[in-house]
Amino acid sequence: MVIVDDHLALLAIAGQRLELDAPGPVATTTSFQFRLARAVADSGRAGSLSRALPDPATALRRVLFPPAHRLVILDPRQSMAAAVEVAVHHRANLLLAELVGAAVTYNAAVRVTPANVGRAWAEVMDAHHIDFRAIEP
Amino acid sequence: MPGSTVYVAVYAWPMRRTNIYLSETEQAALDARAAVEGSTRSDIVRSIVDRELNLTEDAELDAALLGAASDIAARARKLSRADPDLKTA
Repeated sequence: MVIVDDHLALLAIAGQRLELDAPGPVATTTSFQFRLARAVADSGRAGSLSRALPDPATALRRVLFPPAHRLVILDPRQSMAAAVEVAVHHRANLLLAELVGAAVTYNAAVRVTPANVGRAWAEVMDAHHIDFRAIEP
Repeated sequence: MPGSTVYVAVYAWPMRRTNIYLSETEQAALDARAAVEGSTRSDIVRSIVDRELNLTEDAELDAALLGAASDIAARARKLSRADPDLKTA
C-alpha cells in the first residue's frame, strides 16, 4: 500500500496514473481527505477555481466518496493507537501523527508532494523506518 | 465437499466471473430483492458493489479535477496554514 497526500490523492481520484515507485493500492488518511474536501468545497470563493470546477457539489461528492479502485480512504480507528504514540513521542500534529500511524500499522510507503513536506517529517518517518519520498505530481 | 472441484474464478471479457460463498440468509435476501426488482441475483450484487465502492464513471469530472488539481492543492495548503492540526510545516 502507498499512502499519499491530498494533492496526489486528487490526481489518483481523477484517474491519473502516478509513478509512486511502491507496490499496492493507493490510499490516503482522513486528515488529508479533509484538507482536500475543504479546498473543493471552498472553491467557489476562489475565482480561478470556481471557473475550473463549474459543479463543485459533484466534485466534492467524488472527493468524499472516491472510486475504491483509484483511492482508498483509511479508517483512522485502525491506526489510532500508533498515531497517538507518534503524537506523544514526536509532538506531531494530527496530520503527521495519522499519516505515520497509518504507515506503521499497514507497513505502507508514504509519498507526498514537495510542497507538503513538513520540516520534521523526514526525521519522524526515518525513526519509524518508513519508505518516505517526496515526488513531483 | 471431498473430491469436488470449486472454480474460484473464471475470466471472460468484459466481466470476470467469480464465485463467492454466501450464507443462506444473504442468498435469500438477494433473491428477494431480485424478485421485487425483476432482476437477477448477479445484477443485485453488482449494483451493491458499484454503490459501496463508488465505481461510477465520469470522464468530464475527471478532466475538470485534473485541470484544477494544482490550484485545489494550493488552496488546501493555504486553508490549512492557520490550522495547527492540519498544517504541514
